[in-house]
Amino acid sequence: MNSASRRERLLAGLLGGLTAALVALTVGLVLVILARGLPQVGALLNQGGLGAAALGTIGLTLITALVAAPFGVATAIALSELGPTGRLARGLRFGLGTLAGVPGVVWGLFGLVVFVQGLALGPSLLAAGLTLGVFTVPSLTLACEQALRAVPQEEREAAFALGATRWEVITRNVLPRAAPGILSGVALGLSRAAGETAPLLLTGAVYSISGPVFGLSAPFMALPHHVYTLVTQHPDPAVGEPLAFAAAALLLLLSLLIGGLAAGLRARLRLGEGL
Amino acid sequence: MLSPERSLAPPEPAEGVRLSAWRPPIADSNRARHDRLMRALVAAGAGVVGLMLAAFLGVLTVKGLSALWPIPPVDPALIQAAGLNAEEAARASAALGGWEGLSAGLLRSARWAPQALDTPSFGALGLMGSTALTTGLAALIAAPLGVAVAIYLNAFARPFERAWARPAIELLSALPSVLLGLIGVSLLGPALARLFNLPSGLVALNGGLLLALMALPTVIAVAWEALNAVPQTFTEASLALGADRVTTLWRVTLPASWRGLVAASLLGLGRALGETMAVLMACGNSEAPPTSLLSPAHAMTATLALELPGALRDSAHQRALFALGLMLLTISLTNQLVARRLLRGAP
Repeated sequence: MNSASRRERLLAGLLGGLTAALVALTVGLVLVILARGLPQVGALLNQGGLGAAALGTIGLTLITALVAAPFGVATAIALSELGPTGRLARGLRFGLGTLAGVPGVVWGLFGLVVFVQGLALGPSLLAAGLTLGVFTVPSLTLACEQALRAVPQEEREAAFALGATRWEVITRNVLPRAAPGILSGVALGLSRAAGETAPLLLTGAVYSISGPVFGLSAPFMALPHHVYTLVTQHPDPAVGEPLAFAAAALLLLLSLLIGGLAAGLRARLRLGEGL
Repeated sequence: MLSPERSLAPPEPAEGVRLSAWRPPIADSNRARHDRLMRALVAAGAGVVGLMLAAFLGVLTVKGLSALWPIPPVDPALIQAAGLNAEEAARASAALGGWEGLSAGLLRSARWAPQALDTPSFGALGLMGSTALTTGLAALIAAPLGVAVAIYLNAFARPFERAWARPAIELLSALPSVLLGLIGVSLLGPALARLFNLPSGLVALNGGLLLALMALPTVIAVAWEALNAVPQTFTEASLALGADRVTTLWRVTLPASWRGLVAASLLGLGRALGETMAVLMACGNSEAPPTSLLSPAHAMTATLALELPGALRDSAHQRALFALGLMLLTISLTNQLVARRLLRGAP
């Protein structure tokens, strides 16, 4: 008995140590990026580019939201409320689940073929935004469907019993109940898209632009791409690296902001369910 | 107004169909029309998404397979316009065009030299080797470590520890990969160079370590879920029989959840396989295939990101890159299908 409990303590200590080390490493990475980056933000502002890169990322995220949110939420509603067990629905859900794990660079290939070349948008903010939009659809849809399915079935049945149409049930009963979960899913999808770099490389991100920041049909700047270029291609690493950390810190703050929003909404959702 | 095609009796519910899929006909035709219209809109949205998924698979398959088709010769005049003399242009034209296709070369040679004008070569074995090396290292680290953390969180952690660990792991998975690439270049790289006395720390080991960090959240999340799915009664029965937690873990929990744990490792592997920025920034991107963990590597994803923007449309180079993309897609889909099948069989 005694030796058994020592064995237990040993294993628990070992596994706990690994877990603590991982948590510490994560927090450490975040702190290092912020500590090295934030003091340099002023310098990056003076060098120019920061504003354009940040605005570019915001523009990209807006286009992503405009593409992914309506289609993703509509698909989630269709999957959860209209025909949850049909063959089509099952096929669609399976496809979304599988494609949600396809690497971003492969979505970049798709964007290059369809948006940049096929629709002749050229390397541009619009082509990159559309690419990030379709990249975000699968994960966003699945998160939203989960939120919709968490709404208790009785809620729907009560409304049907009172004579509501299906659409009335969806808009007045299901969507309000699922709203925090849906918003959290959208925010999570967007934060993932905002930090994604590989598709941008294939659809027209550049290191500097001369034209207007929001030229939809022109090459654009974006924070993640700026980090990449500054640290790998700046002629003087001693100058480029601090600037890269500044852009990285801003990108990190942006994704923490959106991710925190999502987490907050999820926490509210859990409270709302009374768990 | 009752629509004639709807009967008033609810249809027999099929297996798994929720009863509420049936509804009594609505008497108010305006509301019924509005309902139909909005439902059609939502269904149309879903249809567009379905078409998009089909287009995604279709486009990448067709483009990827175009490497198999013969490539027409390039007009020497075109090449001459690029600044070569007539003799060089003729040689380049012969080398660039009239091929039987790239497929054989892709899978048989390790020489990836797309820019060499007289003898461009598109052997993908070196790139595949780079990917296998970095991804394999990442999986070897992330799978045991991730499962260990999941076991701790499932079996040993106190509630406040779980409350701290969950957001930290979500934070790690939310870190944009370009940030880890930055860490690899400016912190991990110099450290490795000092440690192993290398001229540069941008080597396969660097990328592998970063990929492990990126694969960990996936492994932990899936493995944790798999462990939580083992019924409480199993462990309670084992503990009641006098087994300690270590024996319970080894003899009850792990055997009951192994499918989920393997799936977790596979999904982590898939995550590492598709990551682009870390291997692009931290591995050195040498053209030569890697010989060890301490030599530079040039992974498939990194090659795509690096070379596609400059590859000419419909050139042999671009076709070879699309073939690489199709390979990545195929591996990633296969990996996920296997993982999903394993998860479906789990408790």
